[in-house]
Amino acid sequence: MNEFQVRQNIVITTKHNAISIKPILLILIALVGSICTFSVCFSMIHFEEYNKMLFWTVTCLSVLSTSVFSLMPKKMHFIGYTPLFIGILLTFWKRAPFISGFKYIYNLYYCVAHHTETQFFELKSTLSIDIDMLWFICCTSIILCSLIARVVIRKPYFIFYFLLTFIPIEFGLYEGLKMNIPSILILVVTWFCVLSIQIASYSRSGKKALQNANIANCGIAMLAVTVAAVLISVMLCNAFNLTTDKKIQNKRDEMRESIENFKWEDFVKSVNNIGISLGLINDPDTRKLGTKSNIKYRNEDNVQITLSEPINQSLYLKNFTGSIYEDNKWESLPEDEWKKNEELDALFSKFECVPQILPFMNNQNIYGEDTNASIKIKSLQKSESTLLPYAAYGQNYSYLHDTSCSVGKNKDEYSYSISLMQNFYNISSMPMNHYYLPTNGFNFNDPSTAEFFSNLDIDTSQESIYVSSLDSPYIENSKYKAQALQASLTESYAYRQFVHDTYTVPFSSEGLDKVYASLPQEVYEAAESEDSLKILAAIRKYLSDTSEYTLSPGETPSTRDFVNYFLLENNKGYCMHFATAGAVIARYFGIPTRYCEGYIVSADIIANGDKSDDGSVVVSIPDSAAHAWCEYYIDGYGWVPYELTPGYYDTNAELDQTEIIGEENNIDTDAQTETSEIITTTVTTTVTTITDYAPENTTALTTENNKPSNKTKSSNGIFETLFKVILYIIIGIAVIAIIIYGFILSRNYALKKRNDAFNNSNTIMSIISIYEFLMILLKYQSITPQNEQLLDFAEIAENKLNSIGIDGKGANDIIKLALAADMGGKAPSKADIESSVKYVNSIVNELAKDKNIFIYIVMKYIYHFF
Amino acid sequence: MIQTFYMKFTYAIILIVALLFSVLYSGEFSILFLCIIIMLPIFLKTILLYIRFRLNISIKTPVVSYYRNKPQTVQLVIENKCIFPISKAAAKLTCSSVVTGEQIPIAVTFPVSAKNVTIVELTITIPHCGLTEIKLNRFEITDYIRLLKKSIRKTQSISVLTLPSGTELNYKIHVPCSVTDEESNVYSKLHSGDDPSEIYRIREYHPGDMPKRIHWKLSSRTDTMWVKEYSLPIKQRAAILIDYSNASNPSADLMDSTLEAAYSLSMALVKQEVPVVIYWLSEKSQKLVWNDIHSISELNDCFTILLSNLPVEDSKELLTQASDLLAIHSTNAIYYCTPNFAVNEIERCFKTFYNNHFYIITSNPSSLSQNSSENKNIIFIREESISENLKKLSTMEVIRE
Repeated sequence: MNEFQVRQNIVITTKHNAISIKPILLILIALVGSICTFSVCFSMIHFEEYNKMLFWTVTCLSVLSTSVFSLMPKKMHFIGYTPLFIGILLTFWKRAPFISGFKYIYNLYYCVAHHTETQFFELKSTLSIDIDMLWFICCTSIILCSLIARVVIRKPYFIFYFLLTFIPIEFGLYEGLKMNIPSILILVVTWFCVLSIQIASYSRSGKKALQNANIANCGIAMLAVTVAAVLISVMLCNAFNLTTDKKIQNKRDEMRESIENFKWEDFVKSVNNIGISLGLINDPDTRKLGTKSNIKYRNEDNVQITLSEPINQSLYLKNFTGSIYEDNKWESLPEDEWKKNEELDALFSKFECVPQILPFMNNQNIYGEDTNASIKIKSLQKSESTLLPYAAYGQNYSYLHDTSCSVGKNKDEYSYSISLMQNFYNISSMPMNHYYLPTNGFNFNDPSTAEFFSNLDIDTSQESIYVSSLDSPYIENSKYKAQALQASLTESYAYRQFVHDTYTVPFSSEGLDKVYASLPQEVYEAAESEDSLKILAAIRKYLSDTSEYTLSPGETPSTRDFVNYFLLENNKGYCMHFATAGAVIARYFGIPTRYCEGYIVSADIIANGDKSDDGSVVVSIPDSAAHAWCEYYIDGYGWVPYELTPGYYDTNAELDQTEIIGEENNIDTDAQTETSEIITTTVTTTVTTITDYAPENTTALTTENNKPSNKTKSSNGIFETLFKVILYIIIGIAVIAIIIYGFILSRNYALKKRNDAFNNSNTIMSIISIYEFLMILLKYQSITPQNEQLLDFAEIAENKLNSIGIDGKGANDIIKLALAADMGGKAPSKADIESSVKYVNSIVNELAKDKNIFIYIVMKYIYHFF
Repeated sequence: MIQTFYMKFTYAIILIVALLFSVLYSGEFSILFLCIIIMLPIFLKTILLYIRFRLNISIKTPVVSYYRNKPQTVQLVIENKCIFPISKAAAKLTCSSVVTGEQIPIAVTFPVSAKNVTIVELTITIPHCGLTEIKLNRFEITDYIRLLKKSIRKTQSISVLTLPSGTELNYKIHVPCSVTDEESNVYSKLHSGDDPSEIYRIREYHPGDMPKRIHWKLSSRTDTMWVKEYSLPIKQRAAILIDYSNASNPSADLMDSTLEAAYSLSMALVKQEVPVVIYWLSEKSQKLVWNDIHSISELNDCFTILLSNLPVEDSKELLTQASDLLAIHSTNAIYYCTPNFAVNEIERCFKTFYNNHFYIITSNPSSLSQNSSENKNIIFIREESISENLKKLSTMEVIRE
């Protein structure tokens, strides 16, 4: 004996005797766990009034009796199953009331889970329901509590305890039922306590009493730690409103939706959606139509408006205008279009002759300034973009081309002057009027005036300037007269033509051509009348007859055109579907249309708003008021909304129009002098106004997320695509690295285990481990025993190894040593073990020699040979 | 035992599940559960840090000396002053021989009670004589769910001296002597003297014998006249030279055998009440050091000092210095114990110590040649048969007296 030897068993003693309270602790855990489980279950189904002493007594007795019986000495501990058997027998004996009680309880659960009064099971008689219910819960209590006590007391098994206590609760958690939080938190504490006790039980050092004392102390310590963690978690959740904060709830809802909509067949898209919901990826295609299978509203207020007076018509608040429909998306006009129309762009930017203000300006003349009010808009969500009502005018705001408006720094709260007359069906019925404005009323010496008219390409040498409009562009004694006149002139001479050139080009694609071809005859007949309203009405009728309004229409397949899929296959959609289809079809028939998104505030919502003493009305607009509609252009007036979504229009109200206004009217030259003076003042004042309040940000606001202009958008799009690619590459590399690391870890673990087995201080175990490894190596070389004696096999193996150039004697020796150790108990010496280990390693090296890289990797990382 | 790595992996999965749980399940509990799962490791780590500072760890040996090849106890004492018990503590120790450099790692795991002193007793068998160092390399504590580990790098070590275990010789060692000593209680077995306290032998009367030596009682009973011969009190003193050097790099086994032989021989002589002087060469001074031994405890003390000085690099001077000293100390028998013995040294030794009864006790078979193996004053010993091998000393004929 010439080597250090250490005895396997160690002796552990302590200075002070430790008192073990392990049995008491485990009994308490079982009791608390059982009570909390039932408490949580009852709270889920609002069974809180259930205080029957009998039930709680049965629960406690089941736990205690099982506990006591389970603590009996080894051979007697099976008595601990007695309460369980009693429970099963009782259930069987009283199965009828048990089943009846179960049905009653399940009905309660069903009603709460599905928010309904309808019961799942029809109960024949409710007379004995109390007794039946009592039988059910008492039998369940005996069985469940006995099982809980058994898996906790006799030998703590965390996983069984967890399953027994969590599964009843899971039914409620899954359905989102509210439950008694303190009880479930106590249950969580007991889970970790049992886990720590189970882990501590693995240690077999020291005397039994010491072991038990230590196990109990570890359980108590873990209990304290978990309680502290629970308390801190509750405090943090309350401090940061983690459980009540709406933003967090919304985020959770988004993430849940993206996970629930995960589809393996659309893996990339599903992962993308999850990434978007986590905020890791910015989805550049938020405008892509048909990507959401259903719409869910959170019923939270997004915007608050304050009207100085109530309005008895629907109010549209627009935040996006789509001019081009392509690739299932609506986009704004590209910048190139405005570069081509420099004069028009100059008229918009320098002279504020934007079409956005046309309806308001025209309404001053048509309805008078008495019908004006003010609207104050306040964003309640940070992501909310600037909203633009129809027939409204915001002073000192910058208007972006012909679609939207920027309010600069006042993004959260801003106001407009608004015309209360929002029924544009009346306007659409008005005939066009033609006016002649005397040119001598304009001061062409003023550079601004000259520039203005130069942009309009008007021959100022003529005596009068022709204007066509629904009403006279001249507003007497009005602060809007300058803008109104300029806007009308611009509309008449420049913008109207631009609209007809740009917004009447039909969208064309294979899918859309099929849509056009499938339109009914009535639409084509209406188109022959060349009356925009008639055509739009026919389109609307066609849409309402063929398609159904629903918030869950499903997603549009990525290979299909959105309108094509909606009209020719799915026939289900919401406002976005109807507005898009209507705008596309209207364009086909030459009506200048655009697609809009924003909010619709119905007259009823306004009427139910908070009224103040000064007559103003405050209306909170929820997210459910988000809407999409179509707008079309009325020559001489401007862009007005046209509703195509079923449920959002009232055909009768549209037909009931007020008196048709307008006859052909000409300003005669007798009034020219008066007109001339006003006109001179008008142009100069307007120019000053524009240059004094130069827009801070000329970038078009076209989406909720403040999308940049098309030019920056395309460069951002490339950048985001590149980022996405890089992100996917990084994720791919990370996944591959994790897999490779997993292989390396498993190999290291296998090698360590093998080394430990080979170096076992018990040489008999060592040689047997070496022998087993040798057999694996021989099997790899197709050398396996064929029912011969092991000694004979040893000879065969030696010969076969010699034949392939590997020294086989070592294998023979190992087999013999293993046989002697296993059968005869003859322990080989350390030297024999060392030489055997050396030999098997040499075989491995021989096997690995000259192998190609793939086999080498397989041998190393799959078979763990070396 | 659950490895912390796999527990961490499992906990990571639990965290991911809790995260999914908080997303997929509405309600407060899912968020609270996620918070608990996140907070728990933080608390466990804090507790581990706290425990770490409240632990005192030390290694102790309950006995002063250890004996070779005999199970000895080493105590690892952990004093836990805090209220938190430790579910699993792991200690990695190394037991190494200073003389030979051999070492063995020892890993033990055990729980530690709170507010208590936990004593972990390890039973170690040390195979070599000399200094053995027991070092605590690493001490780790794990939390209650085996998630986190905290390592306490308190390297502590103790050195224990391992004495030879000694073999009981069940016979008397014959120590020839040539010096009479009236004070001695040891009497010559070969010669008679004048000490009446002990009868050497009874023989027939020869003319010239002193009348007072006649054994009248016996003579009256027989027809022959018998005379008592008194004993000769002799001085017996044995010298044991222990030559223990690294010069020729002998194996640890040979060294141990030599020491065992020397120790066993010393023990036997002491029990025979033969004064023993043990000589060895001091590593520091390179001078011969000796120690008078009259009891087992003195023998142990001597070996303690001797082994504390091992190994010696080169002890060529030992015999040279010994020859002078032994003459002064008037030793009767010299036992030269060495694992390294060159054959050519034999003649020189016998010439040097020709006046004494000189025996070479060696454990290295390669140091023996045919001639030397026939020499009765050279005893080859093997550890497993020391008693058998040293029996020669009990029957050794006196070569010179």
